Amino acid sequence: MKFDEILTIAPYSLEREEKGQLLTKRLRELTIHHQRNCEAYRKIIDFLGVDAEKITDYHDIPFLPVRLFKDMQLRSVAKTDIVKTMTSSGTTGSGVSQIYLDKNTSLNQQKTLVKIVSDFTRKERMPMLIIDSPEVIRNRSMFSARGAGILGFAIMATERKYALDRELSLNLEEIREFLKKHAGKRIFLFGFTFMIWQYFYKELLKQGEKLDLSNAILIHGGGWKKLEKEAVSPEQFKECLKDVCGITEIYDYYGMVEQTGCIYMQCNCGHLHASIFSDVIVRRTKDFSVADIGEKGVVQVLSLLPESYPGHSILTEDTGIILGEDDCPCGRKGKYFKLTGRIKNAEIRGCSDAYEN
Amino acid sequence: MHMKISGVEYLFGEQNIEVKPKQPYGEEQCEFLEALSKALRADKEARQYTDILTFAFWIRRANIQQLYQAYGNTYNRIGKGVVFHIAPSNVAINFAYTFAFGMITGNANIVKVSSKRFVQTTIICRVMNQLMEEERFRWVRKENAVVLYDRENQEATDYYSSLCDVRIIWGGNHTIERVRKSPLQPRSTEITFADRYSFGVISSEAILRASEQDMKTLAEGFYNDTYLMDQNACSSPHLIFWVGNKADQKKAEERFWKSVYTEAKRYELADIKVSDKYTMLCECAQKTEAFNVDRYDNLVYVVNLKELGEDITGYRGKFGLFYSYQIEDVEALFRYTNHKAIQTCAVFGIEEKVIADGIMRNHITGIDRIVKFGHTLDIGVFWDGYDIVSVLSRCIVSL
Repeated sequence: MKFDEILTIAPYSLEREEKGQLLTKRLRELTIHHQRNCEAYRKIIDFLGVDAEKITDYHDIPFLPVRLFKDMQLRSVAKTDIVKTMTSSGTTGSGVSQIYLDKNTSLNQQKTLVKIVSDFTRKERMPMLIIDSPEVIRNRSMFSARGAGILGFAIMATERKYALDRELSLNLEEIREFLKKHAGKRIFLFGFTFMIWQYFYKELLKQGEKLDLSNAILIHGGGWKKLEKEAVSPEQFKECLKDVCGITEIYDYYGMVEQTGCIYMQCNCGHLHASIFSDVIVRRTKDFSVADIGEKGVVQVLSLLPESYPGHSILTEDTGIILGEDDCPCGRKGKYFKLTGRIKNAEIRGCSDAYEN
Repeated sequence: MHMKISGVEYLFGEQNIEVKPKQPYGEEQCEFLEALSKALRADKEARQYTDILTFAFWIRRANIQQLYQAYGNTYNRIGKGVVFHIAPSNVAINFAYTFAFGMITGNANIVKVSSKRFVQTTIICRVMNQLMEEERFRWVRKENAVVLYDRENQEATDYYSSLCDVRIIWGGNHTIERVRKSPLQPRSTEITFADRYSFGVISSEAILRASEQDMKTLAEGFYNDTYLMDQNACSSPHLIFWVGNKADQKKAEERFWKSVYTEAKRYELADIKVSDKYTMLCECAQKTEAFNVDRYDNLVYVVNLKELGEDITGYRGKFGLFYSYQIEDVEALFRYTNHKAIQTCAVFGIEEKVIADGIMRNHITGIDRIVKFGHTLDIGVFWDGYDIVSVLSRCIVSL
């Protein structure tokens, strides 16, 4: 099954049964593909006693613990085919994930991201204001999570502008010029949650400046951990941003470098959504059985994309709750869920590679 | 000599240590330990910690007397002087045992405790301080100190090392390496408890013969050996050797692990432990000699090995991940245990003496303890291959 075929399907259009069939078919194929092409992966599957050919339900696809990508180099294509290596953030001494991308998987990630995001922006391309410094994408062959995120979203830009300079100070003049130039157009703002709060919102507040971004849409991700320390809730975050720049369309997302592309966008109802390109299964840690709707557990993420590395089924260190399936008031089909935190004492990781003061 | 050492907090005692060596197992020491035992057992807070209670039970007069009798004559022995203990940072209660060893043997003691500030440390020091109100125990405070300082504070380690007669370092290896940068006096000696490795050996036949009650007792014992300490103690077994004929083995193993699984249900399996353990399992899969895994939910993972490498000390599990390997007879054990790092051999259905004889006959460097399952964590005055009374006292000879 070619991924291009899947790309033709609208991202939130399939209901449980139909989506289940798609997931099972593609994920089984990916399992067999990685088993053939990644020795370390094959050893794990054999050791766990799984016969991939016989899998009839994607819930039975084995999952790799996310930390394995830090400890091991997992690749299913020749080294020479690798065009990008993405790295996750990680606290010092704990290593970083290394995710190997070939041309095909990398391209599919971009295409998937555009599909998902444009379902929310209702437009594929817009002038884009990136709330970060261009420094973060300096090295093009080694991507940090933050850099990868920016570049991923940036392909949706007709023109891009970095809101911060090298020293992470706000380029107020340039932003104003940019907004003037694109007056009347819908503007796409993107950045990592903490960066937006720290270097955009707080700076505007400090300088007593306001911007008119009432016609803009903001997408942000990277987690709340740093903001929790400052006791900023998601509601406050939205309110505060609205105050300084009038922006009302704000969407958070959940994603990880190990499965770039198929992010989980948060809808207007505040729910994170799995698109047809991915799925979440919440499991009980007692025995890895599947938790009920409404029951907290550890989050497994499945993605139909990864061909160059065996990351199509990953057990994260995040905990969450499935809130429902196919019946979110926003109209999107598929599972919707919320995150409740990280497993206790887990290494502190997340998508934004912390700007350390 | 009396300059103030900075960054040191005295949880008990003070910087100036009075040195008055005593005879091992002397009445003064026994009296204090008995009083401490009673006070701990009566203390509301202390009683909530089973490890404190076990320690309190260990230092009661009856037990110390028993140890004394087992040791034999000490009339020509006297404590060496000052013992400087570096207690481990992984097992909270060990600071108390090492302190008791030093006291029983008639020494003044300086015990450096982990800067993790275990609550057990706080409780025991509080109770000791309370006992100091009694005139008869004042000497304890003059001759002993419990200190807390950052491990990087080399000035403090230098100071205590320079004045001690014996230094006891509860490892691991990194700690030992670091502490050894601080010199000792020419005649001073050192005991190091380095990183060790422990395993178990089980007779399949004995398992199949065992009653339900025997199995429950064994599983309880095994639980205490392993899960109780997250398999992190030096004496917790990681690898089980199965002795017996092939026909029995699979059945016996299943019976054993099922009992362990039932027992392990009371283990607090935190999410992080599951994540760690599952990651470790996927890493195990990379070993060519690991051929499959038996999983009992996420509580017990048994990695079955089809062969063993030269060095078995690399087969380490945690949070209930074990390795299993079948051997035809006990003798085969000694092919794999000739390694200095190997400490405890836990047995079921096999005589301790058979193992001890095998060690001698095969001239191997591993195994200093052979105990039944359930007793691997029982600390005592013979530990890690040392006879602690002998090494902490000096021998006076008159011809």
